Amino acid sequence: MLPESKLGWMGLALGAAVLAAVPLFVRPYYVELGTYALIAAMLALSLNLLVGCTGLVSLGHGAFYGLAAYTVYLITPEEHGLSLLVTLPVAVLAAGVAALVVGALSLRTRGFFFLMVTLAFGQMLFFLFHDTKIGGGADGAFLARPTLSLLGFELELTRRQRPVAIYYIGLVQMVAMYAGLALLLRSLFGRVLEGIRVNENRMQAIGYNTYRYKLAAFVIAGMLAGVAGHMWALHRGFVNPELVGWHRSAEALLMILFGGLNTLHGPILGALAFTGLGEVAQLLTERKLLVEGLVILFVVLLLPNGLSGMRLPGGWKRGLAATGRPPAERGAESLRHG
Amino acid sequence: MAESRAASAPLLSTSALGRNFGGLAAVRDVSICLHQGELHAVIGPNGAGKSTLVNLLSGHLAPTAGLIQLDGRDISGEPAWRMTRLGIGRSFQRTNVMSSLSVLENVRLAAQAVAGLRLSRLFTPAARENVLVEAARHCLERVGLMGVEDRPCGLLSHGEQRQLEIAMTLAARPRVLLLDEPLAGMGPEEGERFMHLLKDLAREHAILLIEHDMDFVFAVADWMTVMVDGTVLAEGRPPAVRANAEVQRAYLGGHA
Repeated sequence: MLPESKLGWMGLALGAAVLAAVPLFVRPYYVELGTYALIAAMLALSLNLLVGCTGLVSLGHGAFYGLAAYTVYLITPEEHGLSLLVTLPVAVLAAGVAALVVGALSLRTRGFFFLMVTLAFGQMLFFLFHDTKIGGGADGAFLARPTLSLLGFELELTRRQRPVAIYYIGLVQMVAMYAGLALLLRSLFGRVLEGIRVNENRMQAIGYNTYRYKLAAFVIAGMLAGVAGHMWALHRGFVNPELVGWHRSAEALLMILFGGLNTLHGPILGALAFTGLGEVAQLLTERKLLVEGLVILFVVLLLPNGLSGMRLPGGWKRGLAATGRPPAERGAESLRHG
Repeated sequence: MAESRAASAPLLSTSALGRNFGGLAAVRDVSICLHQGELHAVIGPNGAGKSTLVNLLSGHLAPTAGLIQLDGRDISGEPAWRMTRLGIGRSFQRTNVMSSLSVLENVRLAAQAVAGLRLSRLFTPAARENVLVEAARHCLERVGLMGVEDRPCGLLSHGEQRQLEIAMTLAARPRVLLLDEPLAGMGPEEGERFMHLLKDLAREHAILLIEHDMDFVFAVADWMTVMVDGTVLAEGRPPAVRANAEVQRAYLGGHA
């Protein structure tokens, strides 16, 4: 799970440098696509704190993402945007409070039941926004974009004028999230989460109130999803109920599987590749979802550790051999192979 | 030593402890005392309720009747994690470890759980917490499991995993040790070493031992309880238990 210290940080620096260079070479359309991919990466990263690190598979994670986006809409006056330094903390806090409530109740259950309870909470929130006029109902609503005001200097973040600025704001947040998670997983707290993923009953027997640890992880993950949702509102200037629904959560799960859930960078790879795949599929065919589905199916079958677990050419063979084993065993596998 | 047993207050005691599963009384009306510095063995045929008793004492099951007291304080029904924090450590009959984590990490986590860390310290890097690592190493040394610290513990031999179980239990610095068939799967040599460790541990802890190897039990126990059908058939010092006609008939057979 943890990045090998030096290599991990070097990889992070290299990856960030590559992503930072992207806007210099591509058309604005692709900068916007890149921003979307960064947002997806943040959502996948936050969800993987639950799935890959703690062993909690949630289908309600999109709710915190969408709720943060709606929060930006709800606190923004009609005529002008608020400062990013206001909207971000408020949106993240709202997501965190919602995660605390949902987590406190749903974490009383385990496994399949947990999956279903999180799904139910997500759908409740979906219908709250879909069936009431709180956020423009089923059609969604436009909002004034937040502004970036720092030290008296004000930057209006209009998409048409500032796609590059928005891209970089997203990149900074994603890199910060990655680094923060790397530190978190290395901490005593992170080690406990890992222990819970591997054998929760034994962790209880050696003296951990695992419920509290899982709830803390759930709230942190919800807040990080809030960062991604806030970024969506900033990027698109539009909110609709789809942001909250289970489809978004399922997509984030697919990205994690696609990229590999045993590493911290896997979800980022997965989100970038998934977004790129969608784009290519759309260019090539009208049956975008079919192509996406087939590619994901093959990746999951051939690379049980996802794109990040790819070791060509031997990796394919080993991948095939390891297919079908439960993730816990795969964890041991990746430990052995380094 | 029967007199000294009566004189000191028990560290852990149960009174009329019971646990039903539906209509089945797996444990009923069990009153036993565990004393500091005493190795208390519980024997009995399969299905006598020994493991259920351990599960009740360790908080893995809640009793349906009776009391569990630690230092005179009622702790019945507390969850497993709190029992461990209160000083009741247990090992499992079937090895139960975090198999993809390293040997050292398993024991270190056990030490961390009871270290009483402040919230801020939870977010410091684990690599900086030498105290916990040293505590873990010490426990591994004590059970004689050396030189495999960095191995994922799923790769240990069966006997080594049994040793790891004990090391993890000790890392929680318990006052009461509940050992559920710790010898299962150990070779004779490991068993010998374990006997020394057990006698050593018995000096500072109150130990409840469940074991099927009768030679071993009679060699180490200070006090014995014989369970049959979920309830106590007899108790006493090993020679008295060995001589007890009822025990002979119910369980020991031709053994003694």
